[in-house]
Amino acid sequence: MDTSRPGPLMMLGGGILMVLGPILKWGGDTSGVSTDAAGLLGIIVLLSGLFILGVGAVRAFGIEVAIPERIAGFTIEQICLIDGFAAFLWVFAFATEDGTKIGLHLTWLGAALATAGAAVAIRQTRTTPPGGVL
Amino acid sequence: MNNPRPGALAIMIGGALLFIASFLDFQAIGPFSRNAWDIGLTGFFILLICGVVITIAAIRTFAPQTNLPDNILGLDQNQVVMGLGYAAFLMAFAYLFLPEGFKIGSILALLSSGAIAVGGYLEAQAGDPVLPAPPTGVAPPTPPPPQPQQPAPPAPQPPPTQPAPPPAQPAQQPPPP
Repeated sequence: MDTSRPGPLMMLGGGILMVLGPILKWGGDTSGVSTDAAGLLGIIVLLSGLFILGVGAVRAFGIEVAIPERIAGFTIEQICLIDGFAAFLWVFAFATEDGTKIGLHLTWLGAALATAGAAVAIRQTRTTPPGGVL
Repeated sequence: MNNPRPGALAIMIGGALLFIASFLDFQAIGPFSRNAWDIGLTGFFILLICGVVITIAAIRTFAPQTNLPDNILGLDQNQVVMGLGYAAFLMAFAYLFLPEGFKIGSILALLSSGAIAVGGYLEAQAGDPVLPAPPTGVAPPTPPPPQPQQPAPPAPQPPPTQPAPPPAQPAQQPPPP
Protein backbone atom coordinates (compact mmCIF):
# COMPACT_ATOMS: atom_id res chain seq x y z
CA MET A 1 0.00 0.00 0.00
CA ASP A 2 1.46 3.29 -1.08
CA THR A 3 1.17 5.54 1.98
CA SER A 4 3.23 8.28 0.37
CA ARG A 5 0.21 9.34 -1.69
CA PRO A 6 -2.60 10.20 0.71
CA GLY A 7 -5.02 11.16 -2.08
CA PRO A 8 -5.97 7.61 -3.10
CA LEU A 9 -6.22 6.56 0.57
CA MET A 10 -8.64 9.41 1.25
CA MET A 11 -10.65 8.39 -1.81
CA LEU A 12 -10.73 4.83 -0.52
CA GLY A 13 -11.95 5.88 2.92
CA GLY A 14 -14.46 8.34 1.54
CA GLY A 15 -15.77 5.76 -0.90
CA ILE A 16 -16.33 3.27 1.90
CA LEU A 17 -18.37 5.82 3.84
CA MET A 18 -20.32 6.73 0.69
CA VAL A 19 -21.26 3.06 0.31
CA LEU A 20 -22.11 2.47 3.97
CA GLY A 21 -23.96 5.72 4.60
CA PRO A 22 -26.89 5.21 2.21
CA ILE A 23 -27.45 1.72 3.60
CA LEU A 24 -28.05 3.20 7.05
CA LYS A 25 -31.01 5.33 8.03
CA TRP A 26 -31.10 8.89 6.77
CA GLY A 27 -34.23 10.04 8.53
CA GLY A 28 -36.95 8.33 10.53
CA ASP A 29 -37.06 4.69 9.44
CA THR A 30 -35.98 5.46 5.89
CA SER A 31 -32.59 4.42 4.59
CA GLY A 32 -30.75 6.38 1.94
CA VAL A 33 -31.30 3.79 -0.77
CA SER A 34 -35.05 4.08 -0.37
CA THR A 35 -36.72 6.34 -2.88
CA ASP A 36 -38.86 7.72 -0.05
CA ALA A 37 -35.87 9.68 1.20
CA ALA A 38 -34.74 11.63 -1.85
CA GLY A 39 -35.66 9.65 -4.92
CA LEU A 40 -32.65 7.96 -6.47
CA LEU A 41 -30.15 10.19 -4.67
CA GLY A 42 -29.05 7.52 -2.18
CA ILE A 43 -28.55 4.93 -4.89
CA ILE A 44 -26.62 7.37 -7.08
CA VAL A 45 -24.40 8.27 -4.14
CA LEU A 46 -23.84 4.59 -3.36
CA LEU A 47 -22.82 3.86 -6.95
CA SER A 48 -20.54 6.90 -6.99
CA GLY A 49 -19.00 5.66 -3.76
CA LEU A 50 -18.32 2.26 -5.31
CA PHE A 51 -16.62 3.92 -8.25
CA ILE A 52 -14.47 6.21 -6.07
CA LEU A 53 -13.63 3.34 -3.74
CA GLY A 54 -12.51 1.24 -6.69
CA VAL A 55 -10.31 3.96 -8.14
CA GLY A 56 -8.84 4.71 -4.73
CA ALA A 57 -8.04 1.04 -4.11
CA VAL A 58 -6.41 0.64 -7.52
CA ARG A 59 -4.23 3.71 -7.01
CA ALA A 60 -3.42 3.06 -3.35
CA PHE A 61 -2.52 -0.62 -3.70
CA GLY A 62 -0.95 -0.32 -7.13
CA ILE A 63 -3.31 -2.90 -8.59
CA GLU A 64 -2.60 -3.32 -12.24
CA VAL A 65 -5.93 -2.80 -13.89
CA ALA A 66 -6.50 -1.28 -17.28
CA ILE A 67 -8.25 1.98 -16.38
CA PRO A 68 -8.78 4.52 -19.14
CA GLU A 69 -6.72 7.57 -18.33
CA ARG A 70 -9.24 10.01 -19.84
CA ILE A 71 -12.98 9.90 -20.40
CA ALA A 72 -14.55 12.77 -22.36
CA GLY A 73 -11.51 14.91 -21.59
CA PHE A 74 -11.54 14.21 -17.84
CA THR A 75 -8.98 12.15 -15.97
CA ILE A 76 -10.28 9.44 -13.63
CA GLU A 77 -9.33 11.54 -10.60
CA GLN A 78 -11.22 14.53 -12.00
CA ILE A 79 -14.31 12.36 -12.48
CA CYS A 80 -13.99 11.21 -8.86
CA LEU A 81 -13.68 14.85 -7.77
CA ILE A 82 -16.86 15.85 -9.60
CA ASP A 83 -18.79 12.78 -8.42
CA GLY A 84 -17.72 13.27 -4.83
CA PHE A 85 -18.53 16.97 -4.92
CA ALA A 86 -21.98 16.35 -6.43
CA ALA A 87 -22.73 13.73 -3.78
CA PHE A 88 -21.55 16.08 -1.03
CA LEU A 89 -23.68 18.97 -2.27
CA TRP A 90 -27.00 17.18 -2.48
CA VAL A 91 -26.61 15.05 0.63
CA PHE A 92 -25.31 17.92 2.75
CA ALA A 93 -28.33 19.90 1.60
CA PHE A 94 -30.40 17.58 3.80
CA ALA A 95 -28.10 17.91 6.80
CA THR A 96 -29.95 20.96 8.09
CA GLU A 97 -33.33 19.24 8.00
CA ASP A 98 -34.91 18.00 11.22
CA GLY A 99 -34.75 14.34 12.19
CA THR A 100 -31.68 13.36 10.19
CA LYS A 101 -29.89 10.19 11.23
CA ILE A 102 -26.29 8.96 11.28
CA GLY A 103 -26.42 7.46 7.78
CA LEU A 104 -26.93 10.84 6.14
CA HIS A 105 -24.10 12.45 8.05
CA LEU A 106 -21.71 9.59 7.31
CA THR A 107 -22.60 9.91 3.64
CA TRP A 108 -21.81 13.61 3.26
CA LEU A 109 -18.67 13.24 5.38
CA GLY A 110 -17.53 10.41 3.13
CA ALA A 111 -18.31 12.45 0.04
CA ALA A 112 -16.30 15.38 1.41
CA LEU A 113 -13.38 13.07 2.18
CA ALA A 114 -13.55 11.51 -1.28
CA THR A 115 -13.64 14.95 -2.92
CA ALA A 116 -10.65 16.13 -0.92
CA GLY A 117 -8.79 12.92 -1.72
CA ALA A 118 -9.42 13.33 -5.43
CA ALA A 119 -8.18 16.94 -5.30
CA VAL A 120 -5.02 15.82 -3.48
CA ALA A 121 -4.51 13.01 -5.99
CA ILE A 122 -4.84 15.42 -8.91
CA ARG A 123 -2.33 17.77 -7.33
CA GLN A 124 0.09 14.92 -6.67
CA THR A 125 -0.20 13.78 -10.26
CA ARG A 126 0.68 17.27 -11.48
CA THR A 127 3.64 17.78 -9.15
CA THR A 128 5.24 14.37 -9.46
CA PRO A 129 7.68 14.31 -12.35
CA PRO A 130 7.72 11.37 -14.74
CA GLY A 131 9.31 8.37 -13.11
CA GLY A 132 7.84 9.22 -9.73
CA VAL A 133 11.15 10.37 -8.29
CA LEU A 134 11.31 13.84 -6.73
CA MET B 1 -19.15 43.15 -27.36
CA ASN B 2 -18.55 39.68 -28.70
CA ASN B 3 -21.45 37.62 -30.00
CA PRO B 4 -21.92 34.77 -27.55
CA ARG B 5 -20.94 31.39 -28.86
CA PRO B 6 -23.53 28.60 -28.81
CA GLY B 7 -21.87 26.96 -25.85
CA ALA B 8 -21.79 30.15 -23.79
CA LEU B 9 -25.38 30.89 -24.75
CA ALA B 10 -26.47 27.43 -23.63
CA ILE B 11 -24.69 27.89 -20.31
CA MET B 12 -26.23 31.29 -19.59
CA ILE B 13 -29.74 30.29 -20.62
CA GLY B 14 -29.44 26.97 -18.80
CA GLY B 15 -28.26 28.72 -15.66
CA ALA B 16 -31.14 31.17 -15.75
CA LEU B 17 -33.70 28.40 -16.30
CA LEU B 18 -32.19 26.30 -13.52
CA PHE B 19 -32.57 29.23 -11.14
CA ILE B 20 -36.20 29.65 -12.19
CA ALA B 21 -36.78 25.91 -11.80
CA SER B 22 -35.64 26.06 -8.19
CA PHE B 23 -38.77 28.07 -7.38
CA LEU B 24 -41.12 25.63 -9.10
CA ASP B 25 -42.50 22.46 -7.50
CA PHE B 26 -39.98 19.66 -7.03
CA GLN B 27 -41.74 17.34 -4.66
CA ALA B 28 -45.39 16.62 -3.82
CA ILE B 29 -46.30 15.69 -0.25
CA GLY B 30 -50.01 14.98 -0.19
CA PRO B 31 -51.88 18.16 -1.02
CA PHE B 32 -48.75 20.21 -0.53
CA SER B 33 -45.65 20.64 -2.62
CA ARG B 34 -42.09 21.71 -2.02
CA ASN B 35 -39.73 23.58 -4.24
CA ALA B 36 -35.94 23.38 -4.04
CA TRP B 37 -35.82 26.14 -1.44
CA ASP B 38 -38.00 24.03 0.88
CA ILE B 39 -35.62 21.05 0.69
CA GLY B 40 -32.83 22.00 3.05
CA LEU B 41 -30.01 23.84 1.32
CA THR B 42 -30.88 22.56 -2.16
CA GLY B 43 -32.14 25.92 -3.38
CA PHE B 44 -29.07 27.69 -2.04
CA PHE B 45 -26.71 25.27 -3.77
CA ILE B 46 -28.64 25.62 -7.01
CA LEU B 47 -28.24 29.39 -6.71
CA LEU B 48 -24.49 28.95 -6.23
CA ILE B 49 -24.21 26.70 -9.28
CA CYS B 50 -26.19 29.11 -11.44
CA GLY B 51 -24.11 32.04 -10.24
CA VAL B 52 -20.81 30.36 -10.97
CA VAL B 53 -21.65 29.02 -14.43
CA ILE B 54 -23.34 32.22 -15.62
CA THR B 55 -20.45 34.30 -14.32
CA ILE B 56 -17.86 32.18 -16.11
CA ALA B 57 -19.79 32.15 -19.39
CA ALA B 58 -20.57 35.89 -19.25
CA ILE B 59 -16.98 36.88 -18.52
CA ARG B 60 -15.63 34.67 -21.28
CA THR B 61 -18.17 36.15 -23.71
CA PHE B 62 -18.35 39.84 -22.83
CA ALA B 63 -14.99 40.44 -21.16
CA PRO B 64 -12.59 37.80 -22.47
CA GLN B 65 -9.58 39.92 -21.50
CA THR B 66 -10.43 39.29 -17.83
CA ASN B 67 -8.05 36.80 -16.26
CA LEU B 68 -10.06 34.00 -14.75
CA PRO B 69 -8.16 31.32 -12.82
CA ASP B 70 -7.07 28.57 -15.16
CA ASN B 71 -6.97 25.87 -12.51
CA ILE B 72 -9.68 25.35 -9.90
CA LEU B 73 -8.96 22.24 -7.80
CA GLY B 74 -7.38 20.61 -10.84
CA LEU B 75 -10.15 21.52 -13.29
CA ASP B 76 -10.10 24.15 -15.99
CA GLN B 77 -12.99 26.56 -16.50
CA ASN B 78 -14.88 24.41 -19.00
CA GLN B 79 -14.50 21.36 -16.80
CA VAL B 80 -15.86 23.33 -13.85
CA VAL B 81 -18.93 24.28 -15.86
CA MET B 82 -19.44 20.72 -17.11
CA GLY B 83 -18.96 19.36 -13.61
CA LEU B 84 -21.47 21.74 -12.04
CA GLY B 85 -23.97 21.04 -14.81
CA TYR B 86 -23.49 17.32 -14.24
CA ALA B 87 -24.00 17.76 -10.48
CA ALA B 88 -27.25 19.65 -11.02
CA PHE B 89 -28.33 17.04 -13.57
CA LEU B 90 -27.77 14.26 -11.04
CA MET B 91 -29.88 16.06 -8.46
CA ALA B 92 -32.72 16.70 -10.89
CA PHE B 93 -32.57 13.11 -12.17
CA ALA B 94 -32.73 11.76 -8.64
CA TYR B 95 -35.81 13.82 -7.86
CA LEU B 96 -37.68 12.33 -10.82
CA PHE B 97 -38.09 9.10 -8.84
CA LEU B 98 -39.82 10.38 -5.73
CA PRO B 99 -42.71 8.21 -4.48
CA GLU B 100 -45.38 10.74 -5.38
CA GLY B 101 -43.98 11.40 -8.83
CA PHE B 102 -42.06 14.26 -10.27
CA LYS B 103 -43.06 17.84 -10.77
CA ILE B 104 -42.38 20.55 -13.30
CA GLY B 105 -39.46 21.90 -11.29
CA SER B 106 -37.56 18.63 -11.60
CA ILE B 107 -38.18 18.46 -15.35
CA LEU B 108 -37.05 22.02 -15.97
CA ALA B 109 -34.02 21.53 -13.71
CA LEU B 110 -33.09 18.38 -15.61
CA LEU B 111 -33.26 20.09 -19.00
CA SER B 112 -31.49 23.25 -17.91
CA SER B 113 -28.69 21.42 -16.13
CA GLY B 114 -28.23 19.30 -19.24
CA ALA B 115 -27.94 22.50 -21.26
CA ILE B 116 -25.25 23.76 -18.87
CA ALA B 117 -23.23 20.56 -19.20
CA VAL B 118 -23.57 20.50 -22.99
CA GLY B 119 -22.69 24.18 -23.17
CA GLY B 120 -19.54 23.54 -21.18
CA TYR B 121 -18.61 20.75 -23.57
CA LEU B 122 -19.18 22.97 -26.61
CA GLU B 123 -17.06 25.70 -25.06
CA ALA B 124 -14.28 23.19 -24.44
CA GLN B 125 -14.42 22.14 -28.09
CA ALA B 126 -14.43 25.76 -29.29
CA GLY B 127 -11.26 26.65 -27.38
CA ASP B 128 -10.33 29.93 -25.73
CA PRO B 129 -12.41 32.99 -26.59
CA VAL B 130 -10.84 35.31 -29.15
CA LEU B 131 -9.75 38.66 -27.76
CA PRO B 132 -11.53 41.62 -29.34
CA ALA B 133 -9.60 43.55 -31.99
CA PRO B 134 -8.15 46.88 -30.80
CA PRO B 135 -10.12 49.98 -31.79
CA THR B 136 -9.21 51.64 -35.11
CA GLY B 137 -6.55 54.33 -35.05
CA VAL B 138 -4.53 52.56 -32.46
CA ALA B 139 -1.48 50.73 -33.63
CA PRO B 140 -1.42 47.14 -32.60
CA PRO B 141 1.06 46.44 -29.86
CA THR B 142 4.52 45.90 -31.22
CA PRO B 143 6.02 42.56 -30.48
CA PRO B 144 8.97 42.59 -28.15
CA PRO B 145 12.33 42.91 -29.88
CA PRO B 146 13.97 39.59 -30.52
CA GLN B 147 16.60 38.64 -28.05
CA PRO B 148 20.12 39.01 -29.42
CA GLN B 149 21.21 35.66 -30.50
CA GLN B 150 24.09 34.18 -28.63
CA PRO B 151 27.00 33.29 -30.85
CA ALA B 152 26.88 29.71 -31.76
CA PRO B 153 29.30 27.70 -29.70
CA PRO B 154 32.33 26.59 -31.63
CA ALA B 155 31.99 23.25 -33.19
CA PRO B 156 33.76 20.66 -31.14
CA GLN B 157 37.20 20.03 -32.47
CA PRO B 158 37.69 16.48 -33.58
CA PRO B 159 40.25 14.69 -31.51
CA PRO B 160 43.71 14.84 -33.02
CA THR B 161 44.23 11.81 -35.07
CA GLN B 162 47.02 9.62 -33.96
CA PRO B 163 49.64 9.04 -36.64
CA ALA B 164 49.12 5.68 -38.12
CA PRO B 165 51.70 3.26 -36.86
CA PRO B 166 54.21 2.25 -39.47
CA PRO B 167 53.32 -0.97 -41.11
CA ALA B 168 54.99 -3.89 -39.48
CA GLN B 169 58.21 -4.71 -41.29
CA PRO B 170 58.17 -8.21 -42.63
CA ALA B 171 60.66 -10.46 -40.96
CA GLN B 172 63.93 -10.37 -42.84
CA GLN B 173 64.74 -13.74 -44.30
CA PRO B 174 68.37 -14.69 -43.91
CA PRO B 175 70.18 -14.89 -47.21
CA PRO B 176 70.58 -18.41 -48.56
CA PRO B 177 74.03 -19.95 -47.93
